[in-house]
Amino acid sequence: MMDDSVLARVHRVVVTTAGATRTPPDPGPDTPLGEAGFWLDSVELVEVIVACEEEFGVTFDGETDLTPETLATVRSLAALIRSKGGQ
Amino acid sequence: MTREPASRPSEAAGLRALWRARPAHYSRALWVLMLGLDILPWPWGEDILARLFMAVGAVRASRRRRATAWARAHPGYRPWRLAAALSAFRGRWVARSWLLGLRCPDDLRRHLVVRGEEHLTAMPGAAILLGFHLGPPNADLALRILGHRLTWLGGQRISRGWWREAWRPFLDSSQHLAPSWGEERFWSGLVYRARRILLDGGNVFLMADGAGRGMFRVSLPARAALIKPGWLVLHRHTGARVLPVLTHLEGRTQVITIHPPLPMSGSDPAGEGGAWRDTLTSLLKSYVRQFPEQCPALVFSFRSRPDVGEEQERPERRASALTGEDARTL
Repeated sequence: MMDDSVLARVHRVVVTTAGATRTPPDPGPDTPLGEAGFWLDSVELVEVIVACEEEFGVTFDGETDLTPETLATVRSLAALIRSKGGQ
Repeated sequence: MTREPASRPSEAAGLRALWRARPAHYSRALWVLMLGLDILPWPWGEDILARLFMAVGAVRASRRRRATAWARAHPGYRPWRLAAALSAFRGRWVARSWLLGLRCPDDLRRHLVVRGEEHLTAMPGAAILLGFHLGPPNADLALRILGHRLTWLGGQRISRGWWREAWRPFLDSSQHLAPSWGEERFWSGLVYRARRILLDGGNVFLMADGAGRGMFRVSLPARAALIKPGWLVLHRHTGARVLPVLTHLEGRTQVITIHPPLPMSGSDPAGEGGAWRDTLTSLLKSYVRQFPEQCPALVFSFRSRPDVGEEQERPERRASALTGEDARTL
């Protein structure tokens, strides 16, 4: 259950990109976006990032913001979006 | 700003650093040989390596078998001669990817020709230049040497040549989006930066084919080329034109051919995808028919640097690989 609005919206974006077949049975905020989680590859992660930019009206810095740590889980991505002023 | 990763050895670091810098996909013997041949002026090292690869291709049964099977799939050629030419070209490919004996860009500039340049320059705006693992490597580098402004998105450059001062400007981080030496591969930030460059009207060069998640396959003799979706995602998010780029050797001269942009309807993505598949299939088949000796990547297993989107295997992709089905995502 995700009662945090940013977390829930990021989760929705990720599930839409991953599709029903790759979304794990019980995904949570700490489910990995990549291996052993949603299995998103680099190109699909970019799809998620662009969708989040549109959803939250934020812009990322490709050099400093998008790291394995910030793109590890729905929670870490939501934290990045909040740090960029996304509501 | 020039990229200066801490783990990249400098020339001054000496032989020990050079030895430690050996990439995993180079055997020790080949690495030592390359370091030795690099001392010679171009194209001596390249010619020696081509002859060496030809000899090894004749002696090693597995290579000879593959090359001969490839040659037999091309009527009109003498099989043994085509097999030998293929093995020799593989040596040239390794030499050129290493910049073997090429002390500075001018050494290469004199042996570069671009055809179809008008397709790139006729229209303003962003362009995605789509390379393939056919012919000699570094088509993006050749275009940059000839004055085209574009950004490489792909694997690291691994060669001693890149450590030379004359080549370093080509590793400028604004025109070279590749993981740093010793850095964990993480492509998303690089692909995102490529998208920004395209949105700002720049040009990005990336390889269309390779391992990893496939969009569609182009059936060619011996092996299908797997076309990856990275360029399509960049196109979809930027509207940039997509121009296929093929390259081949004519003697010592590298010819880079820029083909007309893939058709963009804008209104029918599914139909557009089908048209693109047909165009790319036709281009690659025509290339293979014309230059069968310049397609070693279709014949031999290259242990090369990983590229965009080649970082992980999803469970269903393993399954599709086992059943031989196309992973169609278009």
